[in-house]
Amino acid sequence: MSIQNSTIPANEKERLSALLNLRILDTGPEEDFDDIVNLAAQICDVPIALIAFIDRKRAWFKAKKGLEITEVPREESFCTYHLDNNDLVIIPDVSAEMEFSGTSAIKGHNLRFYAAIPIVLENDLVIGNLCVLDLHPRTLTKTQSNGLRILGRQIGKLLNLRSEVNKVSEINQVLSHETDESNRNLHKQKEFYENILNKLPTDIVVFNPEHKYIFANPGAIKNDEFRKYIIGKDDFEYAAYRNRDTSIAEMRRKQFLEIKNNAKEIRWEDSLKDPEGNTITHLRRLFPVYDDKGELAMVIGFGIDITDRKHLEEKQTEMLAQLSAQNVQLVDFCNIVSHNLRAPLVNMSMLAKFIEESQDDAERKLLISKLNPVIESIHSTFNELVESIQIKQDLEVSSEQVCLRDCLERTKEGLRAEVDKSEAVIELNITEANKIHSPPKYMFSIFHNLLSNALKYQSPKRKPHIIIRTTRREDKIILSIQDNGLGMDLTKHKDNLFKIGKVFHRNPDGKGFGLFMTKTQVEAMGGKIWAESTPDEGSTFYIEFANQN
Amino acid sequence: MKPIKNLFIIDDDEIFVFLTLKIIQSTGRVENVQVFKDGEEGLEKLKSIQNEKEQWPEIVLLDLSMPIMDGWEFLEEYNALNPDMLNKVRLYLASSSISPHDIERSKRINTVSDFIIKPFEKERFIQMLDELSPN
Repeated sequence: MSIQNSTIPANEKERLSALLNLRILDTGPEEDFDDIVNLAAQICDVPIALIAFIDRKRAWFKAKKGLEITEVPREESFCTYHLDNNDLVIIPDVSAEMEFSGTSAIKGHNLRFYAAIPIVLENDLVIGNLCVLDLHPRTLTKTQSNGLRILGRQIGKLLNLRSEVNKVSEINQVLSHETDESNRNLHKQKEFYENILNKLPTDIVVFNPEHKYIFANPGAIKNDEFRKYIIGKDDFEYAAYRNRDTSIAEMRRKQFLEIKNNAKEIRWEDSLKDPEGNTITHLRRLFPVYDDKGELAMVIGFGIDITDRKHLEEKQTEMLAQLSAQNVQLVDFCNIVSHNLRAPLVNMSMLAKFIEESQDDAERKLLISKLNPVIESIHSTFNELVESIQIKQDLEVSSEQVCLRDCLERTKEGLRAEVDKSEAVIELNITEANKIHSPPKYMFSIFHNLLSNALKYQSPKRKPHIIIRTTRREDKIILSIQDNGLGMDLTKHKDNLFKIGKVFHRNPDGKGFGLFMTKTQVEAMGGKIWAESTPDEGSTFYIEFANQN
Repeated sequence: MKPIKNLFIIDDDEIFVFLTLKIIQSTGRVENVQVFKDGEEGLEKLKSIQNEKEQWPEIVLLDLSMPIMDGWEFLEEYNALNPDMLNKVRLYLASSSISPHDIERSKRINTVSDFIIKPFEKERFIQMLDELSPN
């Protein structure tokens, strides 16, 4: 029988797994085991005692007395030879036993006496021994043997206890791990949701059914201190805290009660100024949340910044107004055009018919003579149309600094006959701005139209006195041309003043095209035109030129 | 056929007035035609005669596009005149406008008998006279 074979018991596998489960191998010294070893040495009166656990390939010493080494190869240890034995083994002289003759323990330490009590676990598995050794052959008394047995059982109990403790601590570990995990998860989740609520670019507040704050995000209250303060308080307490008047708190309370009573969401828009003075508009909503029993659980309020949308809406409204104004203008334009062109055409066709049917030469001549003014009228209407369409296309006409004095001189030159005949006095008061940035063509046309109007509609009671002024307002220049002529009742004509084909005086030269042209030109430059007038006192036309820096 | 006594033309278009007068003359069915160059002149006249039945025109031809006071403005004030006179007078809008908007608008005004799109034809005028005094 070889040594190797003899040292491996039948239940080796279970034995080893039980040993490993104890998690005792390679641990440090422990008082309990050291005490046992010392006690064993004392009881047996031997120099060497040890607790050996038999691992797969070694005997490892948990506690030892009188020995320096902590382990020996399994085949060199005595203990390995009686792992299938449950009782005390006593070998009075090792050298006498052929079985042990090859062990180093004998060579190294010259050991002669060996006794061991197996360490047995609850399920009868032998995992090691409590051994006592001596350098001389000897034996143990019955008392010593019993003492050794008791100590052996004690070790078994200690180890069983240890395995229980191991189990409990394992469970604890798993449990604590799980608890940690779920705590961490909870925390993560909380962080996740708070992050969302805090980072949302909206105001969010939550009230309890008593209208006290239970949550406010930084969108609602930016300041950390104020935000912390408000929890558990209501708007009145907050207003007092911030030294604010309670009007907002009162309004909020009213809204809250409305929701509570009607169980319905309310929404409204409010606008306030930001520190830069811009108007910020919020759409606010306040709505009740109920629990399973249908009781009011909380009220959530939130606001979204709709400033951009608001701006867009305003722009749209503005554009719509502009568009519909343009449409009206267009319809007007079309109607007038159709009238202005159609009227002479109708006359022409009627004249032609009459000429055709006329039997009388003299009459025919008269009719033919009437054709000329009609053709002229078509001609001039046509030219005016071309001119006004050109303005609408000419938006990119290049501007320059137009000297108003030069402009007036040129205009007076063109109106020489009218000016001389009426002995008009034209005053120029342009100290605030003597040049206007504009297309020269438009500037001359504006001067020409307004001055010729002033001359055309002069009062028969007095000589024309025309004053041309400029005033500066920020980057704008307002040009005014004031006359002392017939004037108009603007309550009657205000809407029609600048419309095409509108004439307000019995003057054969008035065709109602000049002011329409002037307005078109002014608007093409991004300016404005308006008038003030009193019948029989005179009119003043104002033109505002933008971007005059 | 009995000729009508008075006919008013309120129109600033000299050629049109000239030709219309020729048409009227050629029918020989109107005794007296008066021409007014804008709404205001016509209105002043009608105001001054609104209680003088003898002078009421049987027919008024009213243009729309005129200086000072156009046809629409004229109608606003015209409708406030003596209702007895308005009942007697047949007022026709005669305009070179072909705008459906204008035609629609005229239909909503009770005192307007019809909207005549220029040119003004002799046949149409005779029809107007016939409507006024059926044989």
